[in-house]
Amino acid sequence: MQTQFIIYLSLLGLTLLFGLVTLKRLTSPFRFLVLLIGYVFVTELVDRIMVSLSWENSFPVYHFSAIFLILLTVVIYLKVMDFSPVSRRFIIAISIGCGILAILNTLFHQNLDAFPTFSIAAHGFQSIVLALITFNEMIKAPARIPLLKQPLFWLNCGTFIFYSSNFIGFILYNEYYKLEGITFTWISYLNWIGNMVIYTCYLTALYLNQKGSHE
Amino acid sequence: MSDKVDLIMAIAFSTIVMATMATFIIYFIIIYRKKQRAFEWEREVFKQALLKTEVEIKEQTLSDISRELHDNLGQMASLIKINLNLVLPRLSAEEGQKISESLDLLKQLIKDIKSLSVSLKGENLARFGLLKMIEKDIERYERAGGLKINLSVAQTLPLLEPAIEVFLYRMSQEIFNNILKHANASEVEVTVSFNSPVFRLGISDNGKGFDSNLNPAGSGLVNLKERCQMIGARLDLKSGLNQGTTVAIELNV
Repeated sequence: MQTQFIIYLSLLGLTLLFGLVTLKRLTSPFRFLVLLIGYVFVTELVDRIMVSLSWENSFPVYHFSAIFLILLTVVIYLKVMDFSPVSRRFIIAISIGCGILAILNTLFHQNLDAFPTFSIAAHGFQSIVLALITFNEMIKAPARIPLLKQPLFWLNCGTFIFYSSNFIGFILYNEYYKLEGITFTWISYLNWIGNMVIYTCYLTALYLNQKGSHE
Repeated sequence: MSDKVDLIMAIAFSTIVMATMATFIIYFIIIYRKKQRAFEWEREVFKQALLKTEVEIKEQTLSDISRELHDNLGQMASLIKINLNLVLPRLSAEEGQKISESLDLLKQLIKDIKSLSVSLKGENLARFGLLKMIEKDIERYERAGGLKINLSVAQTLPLLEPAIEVFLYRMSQEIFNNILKHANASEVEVTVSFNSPVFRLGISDNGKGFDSNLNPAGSGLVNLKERCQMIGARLDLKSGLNQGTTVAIELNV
């Protein structure tokens, strides 16, 4: 587990480092993506520090993360593409809805020690919907550059794959956590694969964006 | 036992979900590429239509200028010639000499106006044919540009569609324009050949040439490429510094 975490943190750190080095060449939405990656990186470190300082667990971190990530995700998606007015309104409505649910959940429903929180599920739901809307809009107006050279495609793929697996993983986790330790390990492994996929996709997106392959 | 079944169910369910996601992404890529091709085709059709309209407008404009040249400037120059001829006998020897020189210049001007008017008018292609028109142009370029131009024509040539002849003719004018403006050439070789099914119009000069790797897309060349595309011809360009330039248009007929 420790090795997996180191590999994941290295990929996350590398993606962040690449984003910071090429920050000036990135377009606005991808600068926000670097901020998001940086935020996740810091969250992971805080998480580890809390655990190493013998806190009972680091679960409270995820309550606050989810709310901030919902905000960053909507900013990135609204900036990355010219959505149709209907899609734009839908994206804003979904994000506001998920944001309010996450806040209400943290304040009134689940206590800070609950994991996985419904706030994370809300963020996952928002990300999946936004990714699907973006896929749909991309198909409506295809760009001239090849799909695999479009940063938007990689950003969207990473988001879609990770949050879908994450969303389903956490549903299973909620279902099996109390019953079977091995299931927890397996779901953690699934989550690790998801993390590797998302940051590989984000790294590719940043690489293509700084190269000038703008959608 | 029940936990094991649960675990197997979880793995199976998650695998199905992951496979579904992968299928979704692959399906998206296929659909996207299909749409991209369709869009590209539409863009190409639109571009062709736009180019065609542009060429038609240009042809119309050239035809108008040609008529203007012939009907107005040509007529006016002819009237001046008549008037000068009328006053010539009444002038002194010295004045007569000056007027005679002016009359010579005027005759040359009228000839040039007529020749230019003919070359600008696309309809003349139908009357004289592509080769005759190119020959007329060659005479004009030799006079105006001080060039020595050799024309070699194959004995048998295919019958080309009138619209294609217009394109080929305008392209030959564009190439000669480039030679006169940029090449600093003294000799030009024009070859018109047909090796079934390929019709070839080649124009080579002995001018200063250019590095075709560094300067592949000047506006004149872009025009030539676009026109070639429109008629399904290939443009072959060979040039090098101080090695002259060869432009060949090849068309399957």
